[in-house]
Amino acid sequence: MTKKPKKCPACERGDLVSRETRATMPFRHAPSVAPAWAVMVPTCTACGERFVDSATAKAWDEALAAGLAELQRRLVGEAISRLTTVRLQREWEKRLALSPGYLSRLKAGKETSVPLVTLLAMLAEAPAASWERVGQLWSDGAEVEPELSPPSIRLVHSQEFATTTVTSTTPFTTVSAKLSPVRLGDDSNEAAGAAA
Amino acid sequence: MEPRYPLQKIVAVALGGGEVLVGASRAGRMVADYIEGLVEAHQFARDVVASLALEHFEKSVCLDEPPYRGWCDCYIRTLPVELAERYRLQHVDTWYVKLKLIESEDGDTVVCVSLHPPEHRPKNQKKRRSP
Repeated sequence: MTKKPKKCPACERGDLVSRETRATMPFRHAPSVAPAWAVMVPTCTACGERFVDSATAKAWDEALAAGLAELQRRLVGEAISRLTTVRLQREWEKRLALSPGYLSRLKAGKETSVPLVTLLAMLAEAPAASWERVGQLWSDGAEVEPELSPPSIRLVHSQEFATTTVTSTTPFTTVSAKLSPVRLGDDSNEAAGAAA
Repeated sequence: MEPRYPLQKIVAVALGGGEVLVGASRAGRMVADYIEGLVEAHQFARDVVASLALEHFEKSVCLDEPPYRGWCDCYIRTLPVELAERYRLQHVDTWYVKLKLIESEDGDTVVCVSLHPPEHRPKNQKKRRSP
Protein backbone atom coordinates (compact mmCIF):
# COMPACT_ATOMS: atom_id res chain seq x y z
CA MET A 1 0.00 0.00 0.00
CA THR A 2 1.41 3.39 -0.96
CA LYS A 3 1.57 6.09 1.66
CA LYS A 4 -0.93 8.88 1.19
CA PRO A 5 0.89 12.18 0.52
CA LYS A 6 0.61 14.92 3.12
CA LYS A 7 -1.62 17.90 2.41
CA CYS A 8 0.18 21.20 1.93
CA PRO A 9 0.21 22.93 5.31
CA ALA A 10 0.15 26.32 3.59
CA CYS A 11 -2.75 26.29 1.14
CA GLU A 12 -4.31 23.05 2.45
CA ARG A 13 -5.29 22.19 -1.13
CA GLY A 14 -2.39 20.53 -2.90
CA ASP A 15 -0.26 17.57 -1.90
CA LEU A 16 3.23 17.85 -0.51
CA VAL A 17 5.56 15.94 -2.80
CA SER A 18 9.34 15.74 -2.98
CA ARG A 19 10.60 17.75 -5.95
CA GLU A 20 14.06 18.45 -7.28
CA THR A 21 15.24 22.04 -7.11
CA ARG A 22 18.39 23.97 -7.94
CA ALA A 23 16.95 27.20 -6.58
CA THR A 24 19.51 29.64 -5.21
CA MET A 25 19.38 30.47 -1.52
CA PRO A 26 21.20 32.79 0.86
CA PHE A 27 23.98 30.90 2.59
CA ARG A 28 26.38 32.13 5.29
CA HIS A 29 27.50 35.59 4.14
CA ALA A 30 26.35 35.19 0.52
CA PRO A 31 22.92 36.55 -0.47
CA SER A 32 22.49 34.01 -3.26
CA VAL A 33 24.24 30.69 -3.81
CA ALA A 34 23.40 28.03 -6.38
CA PRO A 35 23.52 24.54 -4.87
CA ALA A 36 26.25 22.39 -6.42
CA TRP A 37 23.68 19.68 -7.15
CA ALA A 38 19.89 19.37 -7.21
CA VAL A 39 18.13 18.94 -3.87
CA MET A 40 14.85 17.16 -3.15
CA VAL A 41 12.50 19.57 -1.36
CA PRO A 42 8.91 19.02 -0.14
CA THR A 43 6.85 21.12 -2.54
CA CYS A 44 3.12 21.75 -2.83
CA THR A 45 1.53 20.55 -6.07
CA ALA A 46 -1.00 23.40 -5.94
CA CYS A 47 0.59 26.56 -4.51
CA GLY A 48 4.23 25.65 -5.21
CA GLU A 49 5.33 26.55 -1.68
CA ARG A 50 8.53 24.74 -0.67
CA PHE A 51 9.19 23.63 2.89
CA VAL A 52 12.29 22.99 4.94
CA ASP A 53 12.22 20.11 7.39
CA SER A 54 15.26 18.84 9.27
CA ALA A 55 16.37 16.40 6.52
CA THR A 56 15.85 18.93 3.74
CA ALA A 57 17.74 21.60 5.65
CA LYS A 58 20.75 19.29 5.99
CA ALA A 59 20.74 18.20 2.33
CA TRP A 60 20.23 21.75 1.03
CA ASP A 61 22.99 23.16 3.25
CA GLU A 62 25.46 20.52 1.99
CA ALA A 63 24.68 21.39 -1.63
CA LEU A 64 24.91 25.12 -0.85
CA ALA A 65 28.24 24.72 0.96
CA ALA A 66 29.67 22.95 -2.09
CA GLY A 67 28.16 25.64 -4.34
CA LEU A 68 29.71 28.38 -2.22
CA ALA A 69 33.12 26.70 -2.40
CA GLU A 70 32.82 26.56 -6.21
CA LEU A 71 31.84 30.22 -6.33
CA GLN A 72 34.80 31.14 -4.13
CA ARG A 73 37.26 29.22 -6.33
CA ARG A 74 35.86 30.94 -9.42
CA LEU A 75 36.09 34.39 -7.84
CA VAL A 76 39.68 33.80 -6.75
CA GLY A 77 40.73 32.47 -10.17
CA GLU A 78 39.14 35.35 -12.05
CA ALA A 79 40.55 37.94 -9.66
CA ILE A 80 44.12 36.66 -9.86
CA SER A 81 43.94 36.47 -13.65
CA ARG A 82 42.84 40.10 -13.84
CA LEU A 83 45.32 41.35 -11.24
CA THR A 84 48.24 39.74 -13.04
CA THR A 85 47.49 41.65 -16.23
CA VAL A 86 49.15 44.70 -14.62
CA ARG A 87 51.61 43.25 -12.10
CA LEU A 88 53.33 39.97 -11.44
CA GLN A 89 51.81 37.62 -8.93
CA ARG A 90 54.82 38.00 -6.60
CA GLU A 91 54.49 41.80 -6.75
CA TRP A 92 50.86 41.58 -5.62
CA GLU A 93 51.85 39.13 -2.89
CA LYS A 94 54.43 41.63 -1.63
CA ARG A 95 52.03 44.56 -1.73
CA LEU A 96 49.22 42.64 0.00
CA ALA A 97 51.60 41.14 2.58
CA LEU A 98 50.88 37.60 1.42
CA SER A 99 53.57 34.95 1.64
CA PRO A 100 55.38 34.13 -1.63
CA GLY A 101 53.40 31.66 -3.72
CA TYR A 102 50.21 32.22 -1.75
CA LEU A 103 48.23 33.37 -4.79
CA SER A 104 49.35 30.29 -6.72
CA ARG A 105 48.14 28.11 -3.89
CA LEU A 106 44.80 29.94 -3.89
CA LYS A 107 44.46 29.40 -7.64
CA ALA A 108 45.15 25.72 -7.09
CA GLY A 109 42.17 25.52 -4.72
CA LYS A 110 43.58 26.28 -1.27
CA GLU A 111 40.81 27.36 1.09
CA THR A 112 40.95 30.94 2.26
CA SER A 113 38.94 33.52 4.12
CA VAL A 114 35.93 35.31 2.72
CA PRO A 115 37.47 38.76 3.45
CA LEU A 116 40.54 37.91 1.33
CA VAL A 117 38.42 36.65 -1.57
CA THR A 118 36.31 39.79 -1.36
CA LEU A 119 39.40 41.99 -1.29
CA LEU A 120 40.98 40.27 -4.30
CA ALA A 121 37.74 40.46 -6.28
CA MET A 122 37.33 44.16 -5.53
CA LEU A 123 40.97 44.96 -6.34
CA ALA A 124 40.57 43.10 -9.61
CA GLU A 125 37.76 45.38 -10.74
CA ALA A 126 40.37 48.01 -11.66
CA PRO A 127 43.77 46.33 -11.27
CA ALA A 128 46.03 49.25 -12.22
CA ALA A 129 44.18 51.76 -10.04
CA SER A 130 44.07 49.22 -7.20
CA TRP A 131 47.84 48.76 -7.36
CA GLU A 132 48.33 52.52 -6.96
CA ARG A 133 45.67 52.84 -4.29
CA VAL A 134 47.01 50.07 -2.10
CA GLY A 135 50.46 51.65 -2.39
CA GLN A 136 49.02 55.01 -1.30
CA LEU A 137 47.13 53.46 1.62
CA TRP A 138 50.34 52.07 3.09
CA SER A 139 52.47 55.15 2.44
CA ASP A 140 51.53 56.93 5.65
CA GLY A 141 50.57 60.18 3.95
CA ALA A 142 53.74 60.51 1.88
CA GLU A 143 53.28 61.31 -1.77
CA VAL A 144 53.86 58.34 -3.95
CA GLU A 145 55.64 58.84 -7.22
CA PRO A 146 53.53 57.70 -10.08
CA GLU A 147 54.66 54.53 -11.71
CA LEU A 148 56.76 55.00 -14.84
CA SER A 149 55.20 53.43 -17.83
CA PRO A 150 57.02 52.90 -21.10
CA PRO A 151 56.83 56.06 -23.26
CA SER A 152 54.45 55.87 -26.12
CA ILE A 153 55.66 57.26 -29.39
CA ARG A 154 53.28 58.32 -32.07
CA LEU A 155 54.43 59.05 -35.57
CA VAL A 156 52.18 61.01 -37.85
CA HIS A 157 53.32 61.29 -41.41
CA SER A 158 51.51 63.47 -43.84
CA GLN A 159 52.16 62.68 -47.48
CA GLU A 160 50.75 66.00 -48.65
CA PHE A 161 53.05 68.26 -46.64
CA ALA A 162 55.79 65.72 -46.18
CA THR A 163 56.04 66.48 -42.47
CA THR A 164 56.51 64.06 -39.64
CA THR A 165 55.41 64.77 -36.09
CA VAL A 166 56.95 62.75 -33.30
CA THR A 167 55.12 62.76 -29.99
CA SER A 168 56.60 61.06 -26.97
CA THR A 169 54.49 60.77 -23.83
CA THR A 170 55.65 59.78 -20.37
CA PRO A 171 53.73 60.34 -17.13
CA PHE A 172 55.65 63.57 -16.63
CA THR A 173 56.19 65.16 -20.05
CA THR A 174 54.89 65.32 -23.53
CA VAL A 175 57.47 66.17 -26.15
CA SER A 176 56.48 67.08 -29.64
CA ALA A 177 58.84 67.83 -32.46
CA LYS A 178 57.93 68.69 -35.98
CA LEU A 179 60.54 67.66 -38.49
CA SER A 180 61.34 70.10 -41.26
CA PRO A 181 59.38 69.63 -44.44
CA VAL A 182 61.00 67.63 -47.16
CA ARG A 183 59.87 67.12 -50.64
CA LEU A 184 59.68 63.47 -51.35
CA GLY A 185 61.91 62.25 -54.12
CA ASP A 186 63.83 65.54 -54.29
CA ASP A 187 67.53 64.79 -54.66
CA SER A 188 68.43 68.40 -53.95
CA ASN A 189 67.90 67.76 -50.27
CA GLU A 190 70.55 65.11 -50.32
CA ALA A 191 72.86 67.43 -52.24
CA ALA A 192 72.16 70.23 -49.74
CA GLY A 193 72.90 67.87 -46.89
CA ALA A 194 76.15 66.78 -48.47
CA ALA A 195 77.19 70.41 -49.09
CA ALA A 196 76.48 71.26 -45.46
CA MET B 1 -8.12 35.06 24.36
CA GLU B 2 -6.85 31.49 24.06
CA PRO B 3 -4.60 30.15 21.30
CA ARG B 4 -6.37 28.25 18.55
CA TYR B 5 -3.92 25.34 18.80
CA PRO B 6 -2.99 23.71 22.14
CA LEU B 7 0.38 25.17 23.08
CA GLN B 8 1.35 22.10 25.07
CA LYS B 9 1.09 19.99 21.91
CA ILE B 10 3.00 22.55 19.87
CA VAL B 11 5.86 22.64 22.35
CA ALA B 12 5.91 18.82 22.48
CA VAL B 13 6.25 18.67 18.67
CA ALA B 14 9.08 21.22 18.77
CA LEU B 15 10.86 19.28 21.51
CA GLY B 16 11.12 16.29 19.17
CA GLY B 17 7.70 14.71 19.18
CA GLY B 18 7.00 15.67 15.55
CA GLU B 19 8.17 17.65 12.56
CA VAL B 20 8.66 21.39 12.36
CA LEU B 21 8.30 22.89 8.89
CA VAL B 22 9.50 26.30 7.83
CA GLY B 23 8.63 27.80 4.44
CA ALA B 24 11.74 27.82 2.26
CA SER B 25 11.46 31.51 1.44
CA ARG B 26 10.97 32.37 5.14
CA ALA B 27 14.00 30.24 6.07
CA GLY B 28 15.97 31.90 3.27
CA ARG B 29 15.18 35.35 4.63
CA MET B 30 16.32 34.27 8.10
CA VAL B 31 19.61 33.09 6.63
CA ALA B 32 20.01 36.29 4.63
CA ASP B 33 19.50 38.48 7.68
CA TYR B 34 20.54 36.60 10.81
CA ILE B 35 21.50 32.95 10.54
CA GLU B 36 24.29 30.93 8.88
CA GLY B 37 22.37 28.26 7.03
CA LEU B 38 19.14 26.30 6.70
CA VAL B 39 20.04 23.72 9.35
CA GLU B 40 20.59 26.52 11.85
CA ALA B 41 17.44 28.36 10.71
CA HIS B 42 15.37 25.23 11.13
CA GLN B 43 16.88 24.45 14.53
CA PHE B 44 16.32 28.06 15.61
CA ALA B 45 12.64 27.79 14.64
CA ARG B 46 12.36 24.57 16.63
CA ASP B 47 14.07 26.11 19.67
CA VAL B 48 11.96 29.26 19.63
CA VAL B 49 8.72 27.29 19.35
CA ALA B 50 9.87 24.96 22.12
CA SER B 51 10.42 27.96 24.38
CA LEU B 52 6.92 29.42 23.94
CA ALA B 53 4.59 29.91 26.90
CA LEU B 54 1.05 31.20 27.13
CA GLU B 55 2.25 34.60 28.30
CA HIS B 56 3.86 35.08 24.87
CA PHE B 57 0.56 34.57 23.02
CA GLU B 58 -0.68 37.62 21.15
CA LYS B 59 -3.64 36.68 18.97
CA SER B 60 -5.06 34.23 16.44
CA VAL B 61 -5.47 35.29 12.83
CA CYS B 62 -7.17 33.69 9.85
CA LEU B 63 -5.03 33.92 6.72
CA ASP B 64 -6.49 33.93 3.27
CA GLU B 65 -3.61 35.18 1.20
CA PRO B 66 -1.75 32.72 -0.99
CA PRO B 67 -0.01 30.56 -0.26
CA TYR B 68 -1.10 30.47 3.39
CA ARG B 69 -4.71 29.81 4.40
CA GLY B 70 -6.41 29.00 7.66
CA TRP B 71 -5.97 29.83 11.31
CA CYS B 72 -2.62 30.70 12.83
CA ASP B 73 -1.57 31.61 16.36
CA CYS B 74 0.76 34.55 16.84
CA TYR B 75 3.30 34.84 19.66
CA ILE B 76 5.90 37.41 20.56
CA ARG B 77 8.90 35.98 22.28
CA THR B 78 11.87 37.70 23.84
CA LEU B 79 14.65 35.16 23.44
CA PRO B 80 16.12 33.60 26.55
CA VAL B 81 19.73 34.69 27.02
CA GLU B 82 21.02 31.21 26.21
CA LEU B 83 19.18 31.10 22.88
CA ALA B 84 20.20 34.65 21.92
CA GLU B 85 23.84 33.78 22.59
CA ARG B 86 23.74 30.42 20.84
CA TYR B 87 22.40 32.02 17.64
CA ARG B 88 24.39 35.29 18.03
CA LEU B 89 21.12 37.22 18.16
CA GLN B 90 21.71 39.44 21.18
CA HIS B 91 20.99 42.45 18.93
CA VAL B 92 17.57 41.10 17.85
CA ASP B 93 16.24 39.36 20.88
CA THR B 94 12.49 39.72 20.27
CA TRP B 95 10.81 37.53 17.68
CA TYR B 96 7.36 37.33 16.19
CA VAL B 97 6.16 33.77 15.63
CA LYS B 98 3.12 32.81 13.59
CA LEU B 99 2.36 29.11 13.48
CA LYS B 100 -0.20 26.44 12.88
CA LEU B 101 -0.47 22.84 13.98
CA ILE B 102 -1.33 20.07 11.55
CA GLU B 103 -2.45 16.90 13.25
CA SER B 104 -2.42 13.64 11.33
CA GLU B 105 -2.11 9.90 11.85
CA ASP B 106 1.51 10.06 10.66
CA GLY B 107 2.38 12.50 13.41
CA ASP B 108 1.87 16.12 14.25
CA THR B 109 3.54 18.95 12.39
CA VAL B 110 4.12 22.54 13.45
CA VAL B 111 4.35 24.94 10.55
CA CYS B 112 6.26 28.16 11.15
CA VAL B 113 4.43 30.60 8.92
CA SER B 114 6.35 33.63 10.22
CA LEU B 115 9.48 33.96 12.29
CA HIS B 116 11.11 37.36 12.35
CA PRO B 117 11.69 40.33 14.64
CA PRO B 118 8.44 42.28 15.07
CA GLU B 119 8.10 45.53 13.19
CA HIS B 120 6.74 47.20 16.35
CA ARG B 121 7.16 46.11 19.93
CA PRO B 122 3.72 45.37 21.37
CA LYS B 123 2.57 47.89 23.94
CA ASN B 124 1.33 45.26 26.35
CA GLN B 125 4.61 43.36 26.59
CA LYS B 126 7.62 44.73 28.39
CA LYS B 127 11.05 43.74 27.22
CA ARG B 128 11.96 41.07 29.70
CA ARG B 129 14.38 38.20 29.35
CA SER B 130 13.60 34.87 30.82
CA PRO B 131 16.55 32.98 32.26
